[in-house]
Amino acid sequence: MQWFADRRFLIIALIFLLLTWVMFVTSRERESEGKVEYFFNTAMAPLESIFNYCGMVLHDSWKTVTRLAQLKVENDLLRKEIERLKTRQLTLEQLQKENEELRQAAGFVKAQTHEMVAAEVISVNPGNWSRTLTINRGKNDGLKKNMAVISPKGVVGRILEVRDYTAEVILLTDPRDGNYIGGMVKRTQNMAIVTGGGEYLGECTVRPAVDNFFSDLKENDIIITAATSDLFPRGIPIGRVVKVSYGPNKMVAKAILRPAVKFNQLRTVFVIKRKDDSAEPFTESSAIIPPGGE
Amino acid sequence: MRFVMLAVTVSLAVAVQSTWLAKIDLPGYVKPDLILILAIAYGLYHGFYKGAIFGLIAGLFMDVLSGGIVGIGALAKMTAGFSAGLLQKIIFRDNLLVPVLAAFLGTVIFEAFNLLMHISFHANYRFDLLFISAILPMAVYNSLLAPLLYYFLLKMEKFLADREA
Repeated sequence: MQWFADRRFLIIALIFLLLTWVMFVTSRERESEGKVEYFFNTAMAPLESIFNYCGMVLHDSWKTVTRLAQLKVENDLLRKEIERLKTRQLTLEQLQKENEELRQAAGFVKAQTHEMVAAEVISVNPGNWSRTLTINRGKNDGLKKNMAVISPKGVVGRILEVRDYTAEVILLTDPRDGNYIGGMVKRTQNMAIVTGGGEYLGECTVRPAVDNFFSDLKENDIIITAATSDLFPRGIPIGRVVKVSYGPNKMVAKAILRPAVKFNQLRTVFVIKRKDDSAEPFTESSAIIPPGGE
Repeated sequence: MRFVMLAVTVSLAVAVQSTWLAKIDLPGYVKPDLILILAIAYGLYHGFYKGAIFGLIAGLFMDVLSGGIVGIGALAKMTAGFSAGLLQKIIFRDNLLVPVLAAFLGTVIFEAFNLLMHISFHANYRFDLLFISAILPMAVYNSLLAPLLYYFLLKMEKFLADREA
C-alpha cells in the first residue's frame, strides 16, 4: 500500500494519460469496438431489454390509466349528449306526428260541408268487453245522443251518452245489441249492415241488408256508409272485409270487417251536428285502408 | 284513512287503464285489468269477506265508468275477491309467486265468466275464439303486473298498520 501512496501522483497522472489515450482512441471511428466494450455491452443487453420492457409496460399502463380516465369523462359527456339528442328527437318526432295529424284534420274539416265539432279523446273504456270512449265535448257544445262521430280515416261511432262537458261515444266495434250502421259495398254498391263484434276483438260483422246473402262480396272489399243512413253522411269508409263466411248455397252470408280507424290511437274526432246530404261523397285520400286495417 | 287510500288507488288504476294502458298496442287487442288484479290481491291479503266487498265496489265503479252493462264486472270481481280470499289461509301470502298464479287463474276464470255474461246479453262475440285470442293474453298481462300491485298493496297495508299502531 505504501508503494501506491508514495507514487500516487504518478498513478493519477498515468490514469489521466490512459484516459486521454482512450478518449483519443475511441473518438475516432473504429473498425470494431473493443473487447471490453463488447463484453459489457453484450452482458448488459438482456438486463437493459428487461428494464426497457418494464419501463414500456409501466409507461403504457400509466398512459392507459390516464387515457381511460379521460375516456370515461368523454364517455359520460357523450352519453349525456346522446340522451339529450334522443329526447330532442323523440320530442321532434312527436311534434311532427301532431303536426301531420293537425294538418290532416284541418284539411279534412275544410273539405267537409257538414256542420261538425272537433273533439279530443279523453279516455277509452277501461274494460275490455265494451268499446266506448269519452270525448271532451258535451251538451254545452250542442252535442246530442246518436250524432255521428267520424275521423279523417273513417267512421268512429255515434254518441251514446251526453253530459254537460263530455260525451260517451260507442265505437263501431262495440258488440252490444243494437249497435249497427247502414253500409254499402263500395265495389258492388250492395247494401249491407255493419254490426259491432266479430271473431276477434276490434272487428265488426257485415251482413246483407236486403237478402240473406251477398250477390258478390270478396275479401279486401271496402265498406262505406250508405246514403240511406240517417246519422252518417254517405261514402265514409267503415272498413275492409278481411274474411267471408259462405252459406250452404256457396254464397257469402256474412263477413268480418276490420275498421278503417285505429281506435286506440285516436286523438281527435269530429262529431257531425248536421249532415249535408248534398255534399260530395267522402273523398279523403286516407280512405285508402291499408290491407292490415287496424 | 283506509277507505280514502283504497278509493284513490282504485281511481288511479282505472285512470291508468283507460288512458296509458289503452294506448298500448298489445297482442289480443286487450289491456290489463288492474282492478281485477287489485281485487284478487286484496282478497289474498284480507280474506274472502273483505275481498268480496272490495271486488264488488271497485267492479261497480269500473262498470259505471265503462258505459256498458252495469253489474257484470262487479259480479265477476266480487267473485274473484271472494275466491282469492278463500286461499288466504292455505297459502303463504308474502310470496310474490302467489299473486302471479292467482292473477293468471283468476283472469282466465272470471274474464271467461265476464265474456259469457256479455254473450248472454246478446253481445256479438264468439267465446271460443276470444278465449284464446283475448282472455289468455289478458291473463298473461295481469299475472305480469300482479307482483307489482301486490307489493304496492303490502306496502300500503304496512303503512296503515304502522299508523294505526
